[in-house]
Amino acid sequence: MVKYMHMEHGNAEMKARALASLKDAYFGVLATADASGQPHAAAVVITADDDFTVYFMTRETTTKHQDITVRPEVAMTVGMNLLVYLQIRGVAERLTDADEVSEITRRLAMTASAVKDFWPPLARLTSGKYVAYRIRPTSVKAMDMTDHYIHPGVSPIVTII
Amino acid sequence: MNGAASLKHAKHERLVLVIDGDEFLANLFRFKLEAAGFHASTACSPTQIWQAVGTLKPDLVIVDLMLLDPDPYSLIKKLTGGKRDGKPTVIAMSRVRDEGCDQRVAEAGAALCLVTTTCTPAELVLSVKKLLKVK
Repeated sequence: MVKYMHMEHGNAEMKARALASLKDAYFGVLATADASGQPHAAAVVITADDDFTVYFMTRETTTKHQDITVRPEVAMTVGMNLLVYLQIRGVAERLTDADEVSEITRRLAMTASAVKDFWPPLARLTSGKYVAYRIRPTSVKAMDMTDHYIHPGVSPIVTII
Repeated sequence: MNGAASLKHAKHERLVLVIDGDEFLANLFRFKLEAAGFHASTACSPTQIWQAVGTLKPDLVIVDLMLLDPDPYSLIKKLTGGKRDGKPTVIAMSRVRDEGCDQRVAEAGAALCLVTTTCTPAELVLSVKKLLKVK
């Protein structure tokens, strides 16, 4: 049985590629769970900082918001293709500072505006107030599929955080 | 009020002001318009709106009909003087088409009423270009 060997933590080149992949992404798929553990996944428009903190907005009426209210631990996968994508675990925190909410709203609108002829879900849903969230990552792993070959004993998983 | 000062190198020397109580949508419109080569600015709160209306000289204003304060129809009338060919040109923007909406916005002086249920972002930009006669 082949034992996969994780690449060295903090691989600088992979970290840079993972961050670039995160920042290029228009959306991530957010996984939440309710109090009973019932899972839920939804695509959200995102923006990210250099430390892999991810931001998104939703409305108070959505399942994801209701889930986070009772269980803030979340996971997200991000990647515009399957060559480099990220698996993030973290804690979702609601943004309350008005200036920060405004700045994140602006950044998310910029992300959404880059997609041709796209009215994002936020524009389509009309019930419930906006809520902005920050995901503070507790774990970030990058999946590097850019190598064209399979090397026994070498895992494509790179632990970033 | 955001946007206009940061765009010194826009392709079109035209300023579009987006007035929308929804900051996300206002910025979405702004970035779409900037990508199309316009100067664009947003105003979302009553204070920002009156400041923008008082200080900016927009060529075109997009007014959200869901606006609560100020009343969007009164605002359009104030901007245009009730004349559809007045300056600035006004596009009324709504997420729902209310009965009589077209007539009310026309009477207030808006050149056009667009509804997101039948208008894509590209069509919004195209409408702005047509009304401002730019390519």
